[in-house]
Amino acid sequence: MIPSVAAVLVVRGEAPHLERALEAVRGQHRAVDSLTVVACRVPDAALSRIERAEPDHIVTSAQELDFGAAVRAGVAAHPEGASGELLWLLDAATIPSPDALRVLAAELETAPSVVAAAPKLMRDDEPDRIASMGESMTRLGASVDLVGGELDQGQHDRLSDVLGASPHGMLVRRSAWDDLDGLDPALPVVDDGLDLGVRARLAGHRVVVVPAATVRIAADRDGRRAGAVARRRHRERRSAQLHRRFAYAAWPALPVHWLSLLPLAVLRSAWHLLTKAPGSIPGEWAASVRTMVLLGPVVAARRRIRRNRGAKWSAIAPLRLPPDELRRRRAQERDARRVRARGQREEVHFIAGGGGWTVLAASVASVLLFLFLIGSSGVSGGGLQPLAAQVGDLWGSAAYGWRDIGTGFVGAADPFAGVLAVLGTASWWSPSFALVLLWIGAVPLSALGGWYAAARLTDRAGIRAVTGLAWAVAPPLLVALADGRPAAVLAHVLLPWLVWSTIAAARSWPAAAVAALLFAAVVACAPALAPALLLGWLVAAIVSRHPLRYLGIPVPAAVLAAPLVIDQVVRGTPLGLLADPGLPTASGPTGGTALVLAFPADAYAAWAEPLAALTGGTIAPTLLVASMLLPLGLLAAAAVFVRGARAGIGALGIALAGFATAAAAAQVSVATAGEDTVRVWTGSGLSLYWLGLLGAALVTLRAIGRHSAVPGAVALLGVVLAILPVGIAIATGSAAVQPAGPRTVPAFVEAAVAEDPRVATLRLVPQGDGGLRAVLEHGAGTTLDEQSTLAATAEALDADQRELAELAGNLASRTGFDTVAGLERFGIRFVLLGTAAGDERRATATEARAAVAMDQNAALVPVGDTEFGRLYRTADEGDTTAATAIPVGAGGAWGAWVVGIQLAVVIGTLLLAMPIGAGRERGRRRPTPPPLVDTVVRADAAAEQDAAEQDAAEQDAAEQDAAEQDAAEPLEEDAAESQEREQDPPAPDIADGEPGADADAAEADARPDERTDRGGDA
Amino acid sequence: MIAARTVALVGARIGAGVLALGVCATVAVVAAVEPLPEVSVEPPSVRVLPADSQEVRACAGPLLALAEDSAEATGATALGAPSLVDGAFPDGAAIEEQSALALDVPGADALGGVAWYATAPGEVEPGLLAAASSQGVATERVAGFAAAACTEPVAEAWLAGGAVSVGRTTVLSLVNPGEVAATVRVEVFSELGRLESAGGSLVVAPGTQRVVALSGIAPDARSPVVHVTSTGGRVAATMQQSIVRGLDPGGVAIVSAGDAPATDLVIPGVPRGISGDGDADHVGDDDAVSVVRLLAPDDEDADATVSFHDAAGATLGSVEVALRAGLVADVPVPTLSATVVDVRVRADGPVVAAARVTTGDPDDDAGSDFAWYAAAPELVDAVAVAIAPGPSPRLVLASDGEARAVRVTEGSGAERVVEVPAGGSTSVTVSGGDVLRLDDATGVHASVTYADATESAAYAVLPPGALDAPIRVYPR
Repeated sequence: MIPSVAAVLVVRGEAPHLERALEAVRGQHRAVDSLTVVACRVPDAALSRIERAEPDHIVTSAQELDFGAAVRAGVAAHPEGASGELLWLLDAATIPSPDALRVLAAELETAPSVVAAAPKLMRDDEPDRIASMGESMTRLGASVDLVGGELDQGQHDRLSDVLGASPHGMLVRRSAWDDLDGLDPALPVVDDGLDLGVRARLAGHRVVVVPAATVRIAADRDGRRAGAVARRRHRERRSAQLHRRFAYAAWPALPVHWLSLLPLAVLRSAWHLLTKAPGSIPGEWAASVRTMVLLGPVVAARRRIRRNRGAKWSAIAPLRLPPDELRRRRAQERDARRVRARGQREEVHFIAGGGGWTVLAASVASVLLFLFLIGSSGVSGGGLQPLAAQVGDLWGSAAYGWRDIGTGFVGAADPFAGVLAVLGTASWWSPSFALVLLWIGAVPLSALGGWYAAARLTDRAGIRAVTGLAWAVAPPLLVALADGRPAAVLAHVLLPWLVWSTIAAARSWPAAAVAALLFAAVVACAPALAPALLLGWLVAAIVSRHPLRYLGIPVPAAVLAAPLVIDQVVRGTPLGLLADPGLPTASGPTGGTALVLAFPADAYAAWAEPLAALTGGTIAPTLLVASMLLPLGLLAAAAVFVRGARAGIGALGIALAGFATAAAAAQVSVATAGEDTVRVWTGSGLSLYWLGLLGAALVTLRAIGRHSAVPGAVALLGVVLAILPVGIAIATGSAAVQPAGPRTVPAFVEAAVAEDPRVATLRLVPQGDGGLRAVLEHGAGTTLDEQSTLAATAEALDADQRELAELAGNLASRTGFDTVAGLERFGIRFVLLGTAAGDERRATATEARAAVAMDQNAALVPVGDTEFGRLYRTADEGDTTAATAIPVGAGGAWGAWVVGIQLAVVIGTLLLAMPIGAGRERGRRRPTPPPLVDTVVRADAAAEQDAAEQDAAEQDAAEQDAAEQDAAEPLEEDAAESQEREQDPPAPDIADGEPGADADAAEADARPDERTDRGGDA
Repeated sequence: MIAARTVALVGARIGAGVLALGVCATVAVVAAVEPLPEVSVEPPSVRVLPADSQEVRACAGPLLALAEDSAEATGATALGAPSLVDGAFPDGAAIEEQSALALDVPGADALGGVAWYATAPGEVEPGLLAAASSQGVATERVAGFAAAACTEPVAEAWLAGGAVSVGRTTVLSLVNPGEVAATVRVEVFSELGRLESAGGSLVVAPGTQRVVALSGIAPDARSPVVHVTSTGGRVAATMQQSIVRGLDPGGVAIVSAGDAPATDLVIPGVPRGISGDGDADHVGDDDAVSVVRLLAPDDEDADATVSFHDAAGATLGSVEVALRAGLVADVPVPTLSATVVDVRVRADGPVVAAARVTTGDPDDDAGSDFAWYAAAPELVDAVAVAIAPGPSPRLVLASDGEARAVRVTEGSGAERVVEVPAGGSTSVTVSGGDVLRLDDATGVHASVTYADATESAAYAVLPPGALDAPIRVYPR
C-alpha cells in the first residue's frame, strides 16, 4: 500500500523563497497528497501567494512560532489520515529537488524499521556545497554535524544510519511522530532534529539519511550583523546542549548537573575570554540561568523519553562520534585557525626596522644617567619611598579596607596602589628594587614604546627611531625622573603603548583588552589625564565604524576607581580625585611659557646657571630653550599642511588636550602635606602634549618622505640639548633622586621593628611658619603603597588626628598635659624630632622649643641625634601591640565585595588580553553572509572554505599599511573626527571615509587595492 | 593645467591648517599670559594651646653691691629693696609669691622682696602674668635708677650689655624657681673673643639664686655679651651693671634678656643720648657715648646695617658694620635729629644687639644714669605688661613692617586702640604700678622705657616663652 504523504510547510515572516518552495512542492514527481501550510505572521502578499497554491489546510498564527511548534500546529490541523501516513516537514526556505519525495518515500516503504528519512541538504547559494546531512553526538553529548559545509563530491553518499538529522525536509511516519510527540518544544532552533532522532532510536526505531534525495536550503539574510547572529546562535546552542544534558542524564546525576551549572558557566566564560569571544558570555549565562530555573521543559522532555523508551543508551553508542574522529575534527579546526591567523598579524620588523638600535641607544643613555643606581637596592628622594617588604602587604594596600597611613582609617585604595603591587611583585624578593628597575628602565622602555607607536603609522626606520628617541628624552619624563615621581614616570612609559593598542583595538579583542588595562594603569598613575583620555576615547568610539570593542576600554579603570570616586564624592571633596597618587611632593609653580616648552615646574630654568656662566646673562633661558625646541615645533606645525593633514590635526588635537590638562593642573592644588599645598603635577598633561607634538611631527616627516632624515635629526638634537642640564643634574647627583640609604628610620627604631613590626614612631617636623608637622608612622616608616590620596586631600581632621595634634603640640610645650596617656593611646614608642629644613628662623625656633620641651619631659628619654633628627624613646616600655594593631575586618563585607568585583574584572580583562586566540577572531575578513537561520552551519567547519577567501583579503590588508594618504581627498571632516584618525591607521580608514558606509560600495571607489576589508564582529 | 578642483582643495587644506594652527597658538598664548583661576585647599591644622601651663615670673631682685662688707669679701649685699608690681589676666587669678627671704643666696644677706610670682596650672593663659621691679639708689658709689621685668625661667638667654673694667662692675644673677637643678653654662663674648666660665658649668639648685661677678669669668671684657644656657631646670638670668667714673657714680642699669640671635632686630624707644659722631675710637674710653652693641655669635662673619628711625619710620641715619664671628662690636650712634629713635638692625646672619644710652651729663654734678635697651622680640597675640614705678614710664610699640593696631587694656579696665605705623613706632604714656594687657600684638615689638633728666631705665616686653606659646600642629 502506498502511504499518503502529508506535507507541512511552515512559512514565517517574510519568506523570500516561498515562491520557489511552493513550486518545488507542487512539482514533485511523486505528488504530495495533502499540503498544510502554517503561516506565522506572514504579510498579505505572501498569504495570497499561499492561497494561490491551494493548500489543503492553512493555519495562520499571529505569533512567531518556531519550527517545531508550527509543525505541531500544522499536524494538529491535519486530521489523522490513513495509517502509515507520512509527514513531510518543510520550510519556506527549503526547495526540494523534484524526485526528493519519491526517494525518501521509497526509503521509508522499503525499511519498516526506519521512522524518519532525512534528505541531503544543499546550500542554495552554493549549489554544490552540502549544508547539512545528519547530526550526531559526541560521547559527552555535544551535538555535531556529520557533514557540514563540504563540497559534495559524493564522498558521503554511502551514509545511511544516523543518530539524528535536521528536521527540514525530513519525511517522518505519522504514527511515530505521534508516539514521539513531535519535536521537543524546548529545542526551538537547534538540536530539535537530533533530539527526535535520539528518542526514535531509544524507542527502537531507525533514522536514516538518504543522500539521493537533495533539498536545497536557502540562506535567510535577516539583516542583522554577523556578530549578533553568532552570539544568538551560541546562546541557542548552549541552551539546547544544557537542555539535552538534563533530559538525557540518569536520575542520580541530575543534582550534580544542576549544581555544576553556575561553576561551569564561570569556567566557560573564562574560556570565552581566553578565546577572544566575549560576546558569547551573556548567552552562556542566559542559557545556564534559564536551564537552572525553568525545570518544566526538562520534566516534559524526560517524560517524553521515558514513555517511549525501548532500547538502552548503550544501543545508540555506536552512532556517537568516536573520539578519534573528534580529534581529527579539532586538528582541522586548529589548522583552519592557523591559516586565518597567518594574514592577521602585522609584521613590525623590530630588528630590521631599527628598533633594536633605538632601544640600545636609549639603554646606554639611561645607564649613563643612572650609573649611581646600579648596584643599589632602592632609590629615594623626591616622591620616592620604599615599597612594603612583603608582597602580601603590597597587595593588601591595594584592596579596600584599612588605610594604614598616619592614625589610619577605613577607605578606598588608590588604583595606583594596585599598579605598585604589580610592579613590586615583579621583583618579589625585594619589592623596592622594582623602583630601581623602573628608574633605569624608564628611558629604554619609553624608546621602545615610542618606536612601536611610530611603527603603526610609518615604516621608515629613521622616522621610527627619531620618534622613539624623542619620546625617550621627553622633558616631562626626565624631570619626573630627576624629581623622583614614580607615577608620572610610569604614565609616560605607558602612554605610547596605550596609543598603540587603541589603534589596534578597532579590530581585535586582545588589543582592546590590553588597551583597557593600559588605560586603567595610566589613569591610576595620572588621574589628571582622565578627562583628556576619556575625551579621546569618546571621539574614537564615536568616529570608529566598529565601536563595540572600544566600549569596554574604560571599564577596568572605572571599576578600579569606583570605590575611590564614591568615597571622595560622599566626603564632599570631588576635586581630590585629581590629586596625584603616591607621596605628596610639593612642586614649584609652572608658568605658561614652561608649559609651552613642555617643562613641568619651570625646570627649563636649569639652563639659567650654565647660560649665565657662558654668556654672562644676556640670553634668557626661555629664549634658548625655545630655540632648541623650535625645529620640533615647526615640524609639528607643518603637519596641518602636508599630506595626511587629518592625522596631523588629530595629533595636534591630542597635543591641545594635553596642554589644556597641564595648564589646568598647574592651577589646582588639592593635596596637602604639612603646611605645604601640593599642586597637581603638570608633567602628565605635558606627556600627552609631547605625544601629540611627536605625532604631528611624525606626520610631517612621513610626508616629507625621503628627505626626512635631516629635519628629524635636527629636531631630536634640539630636544636632547634642551634637556641636557636636567640630564647632567641627574648624572652628577644634584637632582632630588638618590640611591636609597640603608634605612628610612633610625637604626634604633629599626632594631625595635625587628621585634615588633608595628612599632609606632611619632615624627615631628618643624614647618617654615613655626608650626609642627606630626606624623604617626608604624614599622620602618610609611611605604609608598601605603600613601593614600584620600588622606592627602582630606580637608577636615578626624578625631584621631586631632588627638594626635594635641599630643604633639603639648609634647613641644611646657604643659600639664598627660603625655604618658597620650603616648600610650597611640602606642607610640619613639618620638623623632626632625631638623628644620634650611635656615628658616621660625622653624629653627620651633625645633629648639620642641627639643627643650621634650628634654624636660619625664615621659621621654633622649636616645640621641640621628641622621633623621633627634630621637627620644618612651620611658615606659609597656606593651603597645593593642594600641598599634590594625583593626580586624576593617573593610567589612562591602570591602570584600569591592575587591571581588575588581579582581573579577581585572582577571577577565587579562584573560581576554592573553595572546592565545590567534586566528579565532574574524578580524579582517569580508562580511560573510550570516549563517543560515535554523540550520546550524558550524563556524569551525565553515572555516575551511573561508580560509581560501581569507588569503585574498589578507593581501589587501597587508598592502594598505604601507599606503599613503590621498592628496586629493577633500577635507570635510572636522578636527574631532580627525582625532580618531590618529588612533586608527590613517590610510585605510580615511580613504574609506567619504564614499559610504557600505563595504561593498567602497570597492567601487578609486583605489580598490588599498581598501581594507571590513571584518565582521565576531 | 591645474584643475580648479585641485586649487580649491589645496586652498581649503591650507585654510584648515591655518585655522588649526591659529587655535593652538591662541590657546598657548592665553595659557601663557592670562592668570587662570586657581583652586587650592587650606592645609588642615590644629592650634594647640599647651594645656594647664603654669606661669612663673622670676624677678631680678634688689640691686647688689659686691664685697661691701669687708667681713664677707665674696658676698653680695642688697642696696635696698625694689618696688614690685605684679598682675594677671583674668583679674581674679591667684598669684602666688615666693618670698625672697626664703631664698638661699650663697654669700649674701637675706634679701627682701619677692623672688618670683607663680600661678596655678591652667589659671592663666601663657603670657598673661606679668611682674616688674624697679629700684632707685643713691649711695656714694652706686647711684641711679634701674628697672627690669620679672621674666620666665628659660633654657637660653642672651644678655647684651655690661662691662668689666676699672669702675665698671657687672654681676650676673641666675634664679632657678623650679624643682629641678639647673646646670648652667655661661659664655661671655667680648671684643677679644669668646670666653666660657672657668670650671665648666654652674649648678643652680632648685629654689635658689646664684650671683656671679662677670669679672671672675671675663676679667677684661669691655664689651661683653653673655650667653646663658641651662639644661635640666631653667633659670631667669639678668645682669646688673654699675659705673663709677673716678669717684662719682655714673649710674646703674639692669640688663635683661632680649631677642635671640636673628637677622632682623628692633630696639624701640632709644633716646638719643650723647652721640659718638660715628667715631669708634672714643668708645673705649668714654662709655657715656651712646652705642649699639652687636655680636655675630655663629661661626660666620656677618655684615650688619644699623639704621635709626623716627616714630614715623623715616630713616635718620644708618651705619654699616662688618662683624667678625664671635667678636663684639660697639657701634657709636651718629648725630641724630630726633630725641627718641628706634634702632633697627638688619644683617645677613643672626646677630645679637642692644643699645646703651647715658642720660644726663657725666661731668655734671646732678649726676647721670645710663640704661641698656635690649632688642625686643616680636610679640604674639596677647601679652601682659607690668609697669614698675619710675620716672616718666612710656610703653613704646614698634611694628615690623606692617601697620598694626594694638588694643591696650589698662588695669582700670580702660581700653584703647593704638595705631602703629608700618616700619615706625608709637609711644604710649603709662602709669607706674599698672599692669596692662596688649591684644592683637602680633608682629609688634614693645619696650617699657623710663627717662628723665638724670634717670633712665628700660626693659623689653617679652612674649610668652616659646614653650608656652600656642603652636600650630599639622597632623598629616
